[in-house]
Amino acid sequence: MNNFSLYQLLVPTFAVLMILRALSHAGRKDKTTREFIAILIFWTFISLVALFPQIFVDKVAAFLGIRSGINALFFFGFVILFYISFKLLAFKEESEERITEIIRNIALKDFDDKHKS
Amino acid sequence: MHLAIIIPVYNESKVIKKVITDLPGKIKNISKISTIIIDDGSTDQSKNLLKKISRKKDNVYLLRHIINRGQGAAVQTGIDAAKKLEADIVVTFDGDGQHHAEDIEHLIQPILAGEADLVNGSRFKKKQRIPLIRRLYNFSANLITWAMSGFFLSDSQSGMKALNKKSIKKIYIKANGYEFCTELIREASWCKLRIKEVPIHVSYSKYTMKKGQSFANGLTTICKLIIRSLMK
Repeated sequence: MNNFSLYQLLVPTFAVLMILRALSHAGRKDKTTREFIAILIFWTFISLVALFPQIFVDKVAAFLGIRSGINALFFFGFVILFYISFKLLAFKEESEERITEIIRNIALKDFDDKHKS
Repeated sequence: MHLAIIIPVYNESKVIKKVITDLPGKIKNISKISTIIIDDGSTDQSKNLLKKISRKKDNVYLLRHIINRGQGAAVQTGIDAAKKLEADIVVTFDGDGQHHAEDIEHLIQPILAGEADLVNGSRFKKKQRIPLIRRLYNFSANLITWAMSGFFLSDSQSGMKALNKKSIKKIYIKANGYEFCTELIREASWCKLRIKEVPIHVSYSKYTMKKGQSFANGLTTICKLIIRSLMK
């Protein structure tokens, strides 16, 4: 236990918070079950990497041909950045959907008004 | 049987009048034909032209998106309007003049015969001149559509489709752009609808090539499809 670093406590704590947040969203039907499962797998994996870096980081580093664990951490940094980019794109798509709904409702309201009169 | 032909229009003032006048006035076993035009925020003369046409013809209904939202968004608006008009069959038809009006009758036959819930008009089931870039884009989109829906269609990105009442009721398109074609097939697969393909004619001109999918926006469409499937 003495060998544990601060980040090994912080990263899993943050991951648990993220999973609970996703669970709350899923409970309110803001997220689909598929999205929740994807988030659960992602943050569980990140927590395991933080808790057992020698197993994951070093082995993955060796597998990927990255020579040191630090480089592997950079690699995971890129993965996280990729995830954030995906979330932003997904958010943009959701916003586009909402704008379309508004535009569609205006078009259909005009159609109803003309159709009834 | 009431048939509604949905035509999404975006800056098509050069061809739209001909597209509408060429539509069939009568089809066997169809008692009523309505045309639903969705002006998707056009900035050319299409808006005024379409207003004139819809005023002259009783069976032509015009809806307008105040800003451009894309073909998928326009088609769903058309489907919503068709539901309000209590249409039994809906046919989607491109506004750029690439489709042939006489194909509408063939396209709806599997629905009239009770053999399909959704009929996909296929440009590749007929021997005709189609640019190589379109063939390449379509083939990659067909693969993605197959991965997402389990259906391998010869022309998943066709803008000419027919839907029966069951499909109209069950399918809701959320995609705004050209990626709606794949979304529609995926929704049909998830709703366990019966899909059939029918060969259709297509005419490619400099005008239609300029208006339709390019390889660059085809790649964007593919990326959007992947993002949308992960969002689901």
